[in-house]
Amino acid sequence: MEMSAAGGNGPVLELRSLGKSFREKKTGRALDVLERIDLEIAPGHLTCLVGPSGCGKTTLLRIMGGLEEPSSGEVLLESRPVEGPGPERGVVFQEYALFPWRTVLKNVTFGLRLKGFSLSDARARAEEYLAIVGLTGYEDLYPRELSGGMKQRVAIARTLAVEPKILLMDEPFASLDAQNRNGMQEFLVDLWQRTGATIVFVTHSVDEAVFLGQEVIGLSGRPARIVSRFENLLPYPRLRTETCFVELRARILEYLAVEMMG
Amino acid sequence: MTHRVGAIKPGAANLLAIAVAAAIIFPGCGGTKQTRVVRVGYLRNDLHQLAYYVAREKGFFEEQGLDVREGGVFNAGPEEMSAFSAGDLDMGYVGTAPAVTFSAQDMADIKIVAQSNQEGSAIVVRNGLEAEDISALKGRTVAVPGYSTVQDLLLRMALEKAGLKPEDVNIITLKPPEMITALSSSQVDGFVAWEPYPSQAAEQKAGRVLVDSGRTWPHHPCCMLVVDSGFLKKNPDAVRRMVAAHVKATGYIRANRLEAADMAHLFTGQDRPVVNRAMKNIDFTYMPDIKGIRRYVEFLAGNGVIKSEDPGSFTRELVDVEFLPGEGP
Amino acid sequence: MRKWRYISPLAAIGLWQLLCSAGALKGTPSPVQVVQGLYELTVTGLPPGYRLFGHLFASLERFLLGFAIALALAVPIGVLMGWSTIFDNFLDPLVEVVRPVPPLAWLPLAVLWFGIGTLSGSFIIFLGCFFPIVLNTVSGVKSVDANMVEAARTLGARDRTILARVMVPGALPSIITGLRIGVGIGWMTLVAAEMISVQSGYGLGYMIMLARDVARYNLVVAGMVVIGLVGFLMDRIIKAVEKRVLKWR
Repeated sequence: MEMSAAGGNGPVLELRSLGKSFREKKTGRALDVLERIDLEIAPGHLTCLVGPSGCGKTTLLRIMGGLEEPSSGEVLLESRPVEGPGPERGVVFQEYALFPWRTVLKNVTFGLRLKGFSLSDARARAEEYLAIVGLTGYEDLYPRELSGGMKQRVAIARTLAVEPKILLMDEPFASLDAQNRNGMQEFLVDLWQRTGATIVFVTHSVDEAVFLGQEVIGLSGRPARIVSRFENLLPYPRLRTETCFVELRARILEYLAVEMMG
Repeated sequence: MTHRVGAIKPGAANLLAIAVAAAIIFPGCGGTKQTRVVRVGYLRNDLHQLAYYVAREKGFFEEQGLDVREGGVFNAGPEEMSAFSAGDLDMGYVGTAPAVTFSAQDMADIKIVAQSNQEGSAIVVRNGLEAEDISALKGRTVAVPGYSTVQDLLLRMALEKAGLKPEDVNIITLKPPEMITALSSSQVDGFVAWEPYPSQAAEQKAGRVLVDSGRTWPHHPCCMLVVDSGFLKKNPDAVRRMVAAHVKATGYIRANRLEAADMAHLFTGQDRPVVNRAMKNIDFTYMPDIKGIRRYVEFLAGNGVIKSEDPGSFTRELVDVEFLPGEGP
Repeated sequence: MRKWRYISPLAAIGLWQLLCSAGALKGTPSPVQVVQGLYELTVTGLPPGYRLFGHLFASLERFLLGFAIALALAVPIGVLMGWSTIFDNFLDPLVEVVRPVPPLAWLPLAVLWFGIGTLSGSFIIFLGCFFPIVLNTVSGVKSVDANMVEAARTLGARDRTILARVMVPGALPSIITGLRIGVGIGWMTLVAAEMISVQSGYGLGYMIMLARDVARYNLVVAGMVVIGLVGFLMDRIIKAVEKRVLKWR
């Protein structure tokens, strides 16, 4: 189950001088949220974005997914500018955003039917991806019957089923308790290794970012700028207790703390 | 006569005080007419109840020493009868039908003390309908203003005379204002209603009168003047005076038709041509036709609407003509 | 114990009968008289020959017609109003001004426009059903989680798909609530509607009007009982439908 490989070896996603500002409703003042973001995501990479709460990392992800428009700069998917959301940039939300009136299977077939899959083909593909996320046998259940972790897995399956070029995940495990969260992180690493997906993962947990990412990008407080990039060359699967892990985490935390003060 | 010291001296001042006290305690004694309050109800814009209006405007009530208060102006008979049930009215002008049905079912305890008018209804057909006589109504839809009203009975009598059965016609209930609209749009083929609706239909060219009610059922009852039985027991003199004013007003209408028509126009708000036409069909009389009322009671009993083993005695109980002069009109 | 639920209505009926037998409720028919009335309406009919079931079917027919049209109009309009601010700003004032007018007030216009057949009665009932359905649909659509809409978009859905496949199913719980309320109100306007929609001579509201005209109050209450029971049954049916359709809740 490979993800569609990027054309050539160029970056899957490029952000060039991306900026975003909102107009404050009450005062009419312009509020800069993002400032000159330059970013390249290579195919097959797992990149984490960290930063303090409210710094705009979610906004950044949403712009990447086409759910919001940048005020300046551009977003390029495989060198082509993006316009609006679409299946080639899959988004996984913190609140799962599953369709509660559809069964697990029907949630996953939703995007496939939109792509023109026949009923049986869609069903087959959906069952494949449900197997990948380990939910075989749960096809006819409704979301309300699932745990948080399972719901998120359905959401991931739903997004992967339409074979996006990049998977954008917005704090997808933040709603889970610690135990489940760790389990889901392991699950994600495993999934990534099996599928070779290109993933951008937003989180405010540095621990999570260090566990997951090959690269951890630190954003400052508002207006957010990229203030640091940390390469994480630790082999998978990573141990949170390992010295290198702990050190890297401390370094990143310190750096971010400084940035928040400054 | 010797007066002992200490005894009450019946001087002139004392006599006057006693006389005044007596006059207050025993009104009517000594011939003084005390003003009596009477709560009267009537139906809104109802031509048949013109006598009330005439009596009021011409001061006949005041002449009789009556302070007539409007206990209510009603859109329909049953509503007025409900007011009697609730004890809100002392006397009222109301149709025979609700007076009888409420009375027969002990929903209101009233007596009919005078008639307001007789006849004054008509069977009307729409213009597009070829009709020489009632037999043309076979298989048609005809509206009556209420289930088991006098008009309902009228229709059935007319049908019977023409050799038809009630089942031969689709009889439905419709409120009179809607009847005219329904007639002009051919939603019904005919209707039976009290004036001024037949005249209005004719004037508006919505239909034409096939037969006046007086031809089908001469002297049939229409609107009555009724009194709450309790009020009658306590204030027979007031009732007598009300009836007297009513009789005078009725006579006035008969003697001054043109002026009556003018007053009717003011009272009901109907156009003059309609009023003029309608007045020709209404017979303002004060003596109720007991046979006619009994006929109606029999109809209701036969219909199962009321239970009455002896319509005759029920009618005699219901109607009290002691206050009316002579035989009529 | 579910049996206890029947105690309070039975006790109320018992008390009612007691009061009537003691002559305390002047003029009010007793439960026994009401049951007699039901029998009379079923076997003899009012007017004689026009039996209860004929009246009931005529009313149901008028009601279903009015309700169906209300449903067919109210849901699309509600979805559009919930979805598009422009549409909402345009229609909402109209809706809010017409809504408080009681269906009864429309009687003269109804006769003018639709005559005295089934259609005029259905129109009055339509007015009763329409507004609860619209309002609840709008609120349902507006309450659909924005995340779901965005998720649908990221999966490639366009506006039309979003409306049909996300908004409507998402708003369905509210829509069904609107249906329940609409059915309740629409059925209640039956009596008003059938003051004019009488060409056939059949209808429960019409029957009650006749009974009232001749002061047969036990028949009036019997008619009320039938209307109440049928309304109750309809509500139960919708509840059952709701349970099935919304089994995902």
